[in-house]
Amino acid sequence: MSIRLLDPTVGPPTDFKARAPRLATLDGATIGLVNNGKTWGREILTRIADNLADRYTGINTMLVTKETYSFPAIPADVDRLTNGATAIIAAIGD
Amino acid sequence: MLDAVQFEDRGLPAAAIITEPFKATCHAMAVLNGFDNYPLVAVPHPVTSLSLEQVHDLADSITDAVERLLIVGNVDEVATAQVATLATVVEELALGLRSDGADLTASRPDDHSVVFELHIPDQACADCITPARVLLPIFTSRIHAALGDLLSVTLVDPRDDASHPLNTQRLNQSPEGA
Repeated sequence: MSIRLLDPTVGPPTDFKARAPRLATLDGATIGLVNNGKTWGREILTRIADNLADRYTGINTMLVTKETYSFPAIPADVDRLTNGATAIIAAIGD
Repeated sequence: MLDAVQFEDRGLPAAAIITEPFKATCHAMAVLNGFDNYPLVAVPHPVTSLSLEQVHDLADSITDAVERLLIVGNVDEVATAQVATLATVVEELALGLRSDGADLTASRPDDHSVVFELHIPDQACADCITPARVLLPIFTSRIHAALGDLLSVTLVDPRDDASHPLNTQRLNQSPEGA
């Protein structure tokens, strides 16, 4: 009698993905700020964005606040940022 | 964390800010989503108990690291080490002072200096608080260890200000002022 073993676990991927290309500069960048709703997340993001705006010209921001930190951003917000932003800052995994 | 790698997948460079206890979890989450050795900006935990000013200090201290992640793509050991932050150093130093009824805040007027301010309410025992000449070397040593030894450190002590209500009150309480 043969025994067939079904393994329900999923191991880690063995072929990893490359990250998105980095920007040459933040001049003119539209930075998507993804606030997961945890305390001070919004303030951290906006302060960093303000600091970057002092260093670079023409920075714009798009702030998204998630409805719950337990799940990814909703598809509509993901699409909006994907189409409108050129970089993302996400906070805060606490 | 998951949001950051989700956008990486969509072609957008991302920087994720987390707190240090979650580093291992976040790295594991990144691996499961196909990103090995995903760099993060990790700050001390917790953030929720910070004041708004401390939150701003925290954000100021990690702006360089976030910038590097979006442009260079990596956060080097120096950048992450500096996320010891002024806020956490101040909190550490303030604990002892609070037990004597005083408090401590700090600010960065520029990139090269730190100014501590000692707060002693009128009711507190001003004589119980360690003198500034003793506090300042301690604060300086701690700042240099955490944030670099090129920073100048000063301490504003209300006991040095003759016009401060604290000193006026003490004068009125003296036999000469009775």
